[in-house]
Amino acid sequence: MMPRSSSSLAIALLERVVPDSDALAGDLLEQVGNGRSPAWLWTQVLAAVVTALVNPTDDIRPLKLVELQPADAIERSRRFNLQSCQINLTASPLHGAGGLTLALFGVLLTQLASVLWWVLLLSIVAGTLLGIGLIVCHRRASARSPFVFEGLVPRYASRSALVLAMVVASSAAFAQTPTPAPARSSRPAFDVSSVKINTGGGRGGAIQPGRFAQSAVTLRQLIRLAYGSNQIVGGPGWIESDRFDVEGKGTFDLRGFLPGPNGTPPAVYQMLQQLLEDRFTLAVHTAIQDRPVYALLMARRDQQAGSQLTRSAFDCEALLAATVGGRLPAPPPQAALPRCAVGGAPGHLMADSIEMSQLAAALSPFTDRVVLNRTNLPGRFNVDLQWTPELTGPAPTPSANAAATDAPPALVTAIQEQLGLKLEPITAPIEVLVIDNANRPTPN
Amino acid sequence: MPRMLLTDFELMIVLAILRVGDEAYGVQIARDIETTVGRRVLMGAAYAALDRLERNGLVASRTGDPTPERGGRAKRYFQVTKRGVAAARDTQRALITMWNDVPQLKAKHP
Repeated sequence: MMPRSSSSLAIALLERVVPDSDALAGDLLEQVGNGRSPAWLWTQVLAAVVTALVNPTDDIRPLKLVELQPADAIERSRRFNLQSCQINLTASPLHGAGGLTLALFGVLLTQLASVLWWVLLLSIVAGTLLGIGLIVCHRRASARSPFVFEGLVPRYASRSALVLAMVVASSAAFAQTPTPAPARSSRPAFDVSSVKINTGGGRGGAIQPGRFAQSAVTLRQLIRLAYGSNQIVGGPGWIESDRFDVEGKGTFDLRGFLPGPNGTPPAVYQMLQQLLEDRFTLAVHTAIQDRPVYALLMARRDQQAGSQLTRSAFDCEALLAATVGGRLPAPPPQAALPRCAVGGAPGHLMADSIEMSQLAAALSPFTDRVVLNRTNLPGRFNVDLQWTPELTGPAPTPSANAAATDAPPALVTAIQEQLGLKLEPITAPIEVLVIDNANRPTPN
Repeated sequence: MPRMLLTDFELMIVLAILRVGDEAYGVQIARDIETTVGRRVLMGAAYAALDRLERNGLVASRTGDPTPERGGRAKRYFQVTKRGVAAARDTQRALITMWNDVPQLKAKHP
């Protein structure tokens, strides 16, 4: 068995030098776990490092984006501002290459003028001290790191469709806006809460004045709800399999499920964060990683939308104000979608009067990637999108796969034909929520 | 649209994805090439090729859920797109055409 430290060192080197190497690192760790030797791991890592250095990827760099894609540049700059301690002293696109280059330069210098050996020594000492300083600075910043809510698209139950849909719609809009989470000390908490192991009940939930409940829910789903992040990394395996019934009661009305006036997270979700910390000893932090995402773009040269993407002039803000004020409008006809909401199931997505950012967020769960709105389409739209969902279950035979890949990718084609939009795979820096610690809940 | 021809390694990767099926990820792709072709695969080179294929729209990838045995890292599943299948066919056709024009090789393959 390979020493853990050696394995960790190799993987750390890989992730430091090779961009977007999460899956590669996972593959290597999996194979080491299956009996591959340390020499094999180091060979693979060094080869990957050399490959990355020789063939750098087309990583998005701020200076290029300013010229070509101002929106991306602004987005990236904003995100980097959240990580104030990430400093690339050499402006090298390959993280870590700067330090190696400096070390190499020092060695060459001592070869040319041996009396200058102290330059190399001084460089090493100064670099070590600088590294320690940056690590300390980073840890302090992580402790107060603001959470960024993005891509939150909770699926809602039909029985409380109207109120819940309004919450969902406004939450999705809220999810597009980075908002710092309050510090633990100022975070509200449920007056009474309960966490039980689910004993067979079906998946469901309740969003009511004074009550929040979820049944047969996994910790991963709760984290997604509480922190508004679809990109969750790490954590033990049971967070996706063990199911719980969670209930919290407190002094709040439906406004508690909506973002605050300054874009702060909904009070109830802050309470849920506190509950997860208390009962699951959950600890998380955010990190920015270059991840494969989809850019939602206009597909046609004439910039025309498809027949299933129609403009809506409905005033959702007025409806939202009326709803939280207790003046509920008449319920929609049977099987009709509530106003200003998005819903549906795999294979059919319907939306009434939503913004394009909400559509992008709603598409994300069906693509397994974050979808970023790059359409620049203002206003609200009605959407009725139908596609053939991907099959789940046992892996098909190779011949079945070959046959399936002859057919166009269903969702991508539907988006293009019905909405006049397209999904373009890109790599972009996005926030991921990293689970540092999670334990099964303590008894009530 | 101009034909897109694949390098030998890209072709092996595309074929391996099609052979493995919908659950094709890095480990299985490399294993399939190693056991079938007998060629040692460097994972970094495989991912570099996969990234290149994805940028060209020949394969698509999706991220699975992270698992503990992978250090909390998610698998990246790959699928060959329609365009990727067409590129593999074009490459096969081009190679066979060249192959057929070489008398020495034709003689060895009746």
